[in-house]
Amino acid sequence: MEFVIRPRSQVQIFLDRIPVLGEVLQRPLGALGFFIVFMFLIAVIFAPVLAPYDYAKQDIPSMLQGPSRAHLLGTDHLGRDLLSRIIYGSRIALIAAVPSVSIALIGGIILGLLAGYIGGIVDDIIVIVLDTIKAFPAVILALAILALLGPSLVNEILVIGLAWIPGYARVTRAQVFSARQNLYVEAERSLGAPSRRIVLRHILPNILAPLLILAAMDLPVVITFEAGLSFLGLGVRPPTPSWGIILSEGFNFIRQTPWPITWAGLTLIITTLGFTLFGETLRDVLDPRLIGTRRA
Amino acid sequence: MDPVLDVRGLEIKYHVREGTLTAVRNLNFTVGAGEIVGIVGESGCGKSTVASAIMRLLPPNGVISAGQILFKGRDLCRLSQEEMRDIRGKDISMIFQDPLTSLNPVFRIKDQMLDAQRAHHPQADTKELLERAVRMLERVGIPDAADRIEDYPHQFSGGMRQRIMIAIALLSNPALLIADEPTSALDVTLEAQILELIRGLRDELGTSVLYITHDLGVVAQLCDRVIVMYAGNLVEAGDVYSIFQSPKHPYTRALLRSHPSHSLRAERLRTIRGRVPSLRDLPPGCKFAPRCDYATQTCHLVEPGYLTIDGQVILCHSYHPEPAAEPAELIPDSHTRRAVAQAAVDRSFAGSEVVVETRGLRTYFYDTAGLLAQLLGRQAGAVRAVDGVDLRVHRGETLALVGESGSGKTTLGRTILRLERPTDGQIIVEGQDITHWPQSKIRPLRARMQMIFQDPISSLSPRMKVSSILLEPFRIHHVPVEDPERTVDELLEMVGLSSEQADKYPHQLSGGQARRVGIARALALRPDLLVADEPTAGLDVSVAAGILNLLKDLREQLNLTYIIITHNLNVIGFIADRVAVMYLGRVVELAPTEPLFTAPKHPYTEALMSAIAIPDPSLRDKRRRIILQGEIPSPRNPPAGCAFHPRCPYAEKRCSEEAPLLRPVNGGEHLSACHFPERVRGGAMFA
Repeated sequence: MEFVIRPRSQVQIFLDRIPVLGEVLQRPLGALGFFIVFMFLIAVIFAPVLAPYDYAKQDIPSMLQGPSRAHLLGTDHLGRDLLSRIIYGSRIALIAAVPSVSIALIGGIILGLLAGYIGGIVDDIIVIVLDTIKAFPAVILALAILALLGPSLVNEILVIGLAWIPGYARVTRAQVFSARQNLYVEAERSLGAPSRRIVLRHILPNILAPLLILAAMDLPVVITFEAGLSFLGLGVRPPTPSWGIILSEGFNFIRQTPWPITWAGLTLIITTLGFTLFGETLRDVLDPRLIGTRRA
Repeated sequence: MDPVLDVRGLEIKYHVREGTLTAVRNLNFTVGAGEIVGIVGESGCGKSTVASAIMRLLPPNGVISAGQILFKGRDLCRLSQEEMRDIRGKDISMIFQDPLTSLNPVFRIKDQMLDAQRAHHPQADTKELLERAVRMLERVGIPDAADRIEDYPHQFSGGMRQRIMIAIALLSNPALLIADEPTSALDVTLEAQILELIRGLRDELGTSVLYITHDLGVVAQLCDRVIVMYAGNLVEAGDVYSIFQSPKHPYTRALLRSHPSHSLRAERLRTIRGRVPSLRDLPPGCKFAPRCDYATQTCHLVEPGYLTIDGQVILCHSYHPEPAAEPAELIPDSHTRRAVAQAAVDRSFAGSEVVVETRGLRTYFYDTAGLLAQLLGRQAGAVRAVDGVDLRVHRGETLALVGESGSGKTTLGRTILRLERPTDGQIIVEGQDITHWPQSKIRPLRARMQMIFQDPISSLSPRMKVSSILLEPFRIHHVPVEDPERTVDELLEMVGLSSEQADKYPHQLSGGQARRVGIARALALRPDLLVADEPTAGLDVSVAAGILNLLKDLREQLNLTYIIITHNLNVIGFIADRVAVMYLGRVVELAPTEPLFTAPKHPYTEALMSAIAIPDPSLRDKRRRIILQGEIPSPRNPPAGCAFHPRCPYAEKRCSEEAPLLRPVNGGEHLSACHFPERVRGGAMFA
């Protein structure tokens, strides 16, 4: 007996045929992450169908109830159905989080590549600017800018994007520094490739993975941050059901009922977990250096 | 007398995600008292696994599934981890390949040496232990040991650190020393020093040594007995003289034949077809059968047993005497050699068109000076990597740059390609002075001068398939490709790869395959000049042989000019027409290969030649060996006069005052930078 290969089940054989996603689903944590992200997207898309009540409909007599047959997750201080508000809240979360993280990611990559590859004075200037932004606490920065521009969802997105750029730029810059030491960058130079090509075709694809995982893990952070801004009255306005608003309103009535903050908090935690697990598994699967090491 | 180590029927398995792999099977050998036994084989054959098993330091998923390891009669496999800990470092010590990472960088040498002793003598007096440590450092040749024991590892050079490792390993006077490739990371002259040291310590202390290496030359020089391993099996074992003089197993023979050497330059190296099988798909019968010239039906189906012939044990179905047509002749008669030498000279000067010329080329790496230092007008220090080199490379010629690490050979190669900015001097490519061209003007020129990099796999972009890697040069230089698929196939075929490789990623290739892809990429745009940085470094002998043959063939087919950078003199002897020997950024000797090997005119070259590990144990006592003292000085602060004089056996007062110029000795082509070239007498083979 030299080398015994364990047999593969029917399900595994089926999943083998699906590229990428099949790989993710064959890993338990990846499958869990995917399930959560999938449920989140279902909530976003089918909110009107799934929500049993109108998210803004008040019903004062049945306020601050615990879970019941009529209100599966209970009601808030205005008697609004919590389940409906959480389902609709997913839309705000997505609308606020995805564009702002994208702005931060793209802006950060551009600045990081410039700083890391050109170096010298360009690097110095970019780093000083980034450090200045980073030195402000994000909330103070957001407060200042939103006070100037006036609160709105679009402004909120821009501010969050700006506040998150330095993190991405720093990671990108550090990655570029290590990637440009690689022999394949040197080889490309010796082939006569111009800098633009080296950066875009050889460095960027190799440093993208940690940035994408960072973005996946930032999504829930940004959702929470957005909740904080809403709480301060600088983001979306009530009665729009942002998870942050549910949390902050629930906080005021915590002595009467724990349910609003419990549900909103759990939703945030589970969403965070889902995006993180999915992001990490995706990174492992997509890294070609790991292809072929998993299966013989 | 009982052997110190007696391994019987050892079998080692690894549990991996997909099942169980057998890494070593049915291994039997002994190491007698005071004996040096070599385990030799290519990578992946299980030799390091055996070492780990003896130390009981297999990774968590590895198990000894059968057999015994008897150390002085005790079976190590049955000992508990506590009992084993008592043996490790006391009765059995080990030294590793990489001296740079084997010492803990944050502790002084003193503390590490005290620690090593404390483990086994917790009560002992510190002063006594310290004295012992200093004595041991002196014994392994650390100058000023009493002072330097206070230093940290980074304050020592690589060779010194390996000596310290050996000193630590020998502190407890172990019965058995296991050495896992201890010289692979070192230069030839340092390797010679370390081998000499190990032999001397064996003679003095009577320590048995189990020496693991892939280098047949080292085995021939050092060992008393040899074990050849292949794919987890012992395939041949016996006395070192008989194994090298009459190898009995087809694998051993093939391995010996693929060793490059100066004396084989007329021919192609004989390679072994195929590659070492992965543990995941081993053939059912003899593991070597798919690559064996003598394999029969039985070989492919049935695992062979051990045969004993003339005291040598081989794992083979039947013993085939070596056919008379293949004499293991190491040195062809002088007649053939002269013809070859003549051909080389003819080739290099037939078309005496100069492809590359350097005039007084210097490349310095300046330290970044602090602001304060700049204000005070203090000059930043500089590493003088290349310090005034004049070279001419003719069309169709192969020029080798040889030297130890720190000699500046790689920097010179890179500067010629303008990958490094020259500090001074001129680089002239095909009549044009490109020294100060901007990169944008150099870029189109890069299509014609290419480089093959030292680390084959990491020089390929990891997220690109082989096919796109090979098409990169065309895209960069905007050369239209009509049929990309065919172009890729042709390039792969040119370097002896099949078209299936086109769809693979770099990490899926073996070292040899990746090297071939690197060569194919370099050749895609049909360059005139190819700079190859250590083209065989890190490759197994049989794979390296294939690469060398390929380079030789391509040179003929495409009329290429090579600059080959290497520290491996066997490679140079096999492929180069002319050799430039470098020491501390300067060329100290420049000559056609043949006279350089037979009659070097610089003492440094002579020492290098005598350090070549030749896979023939019968030469080891006959050759005059010049073991250089010390190591290359720092290129920040080279010695005055002749940079080599502190290590030179022939140096006189004049050498420390006046730097010798590179000037012709006997005839026009042989140049040497030495005041007393007539004192140098040693050749490569005899002295």
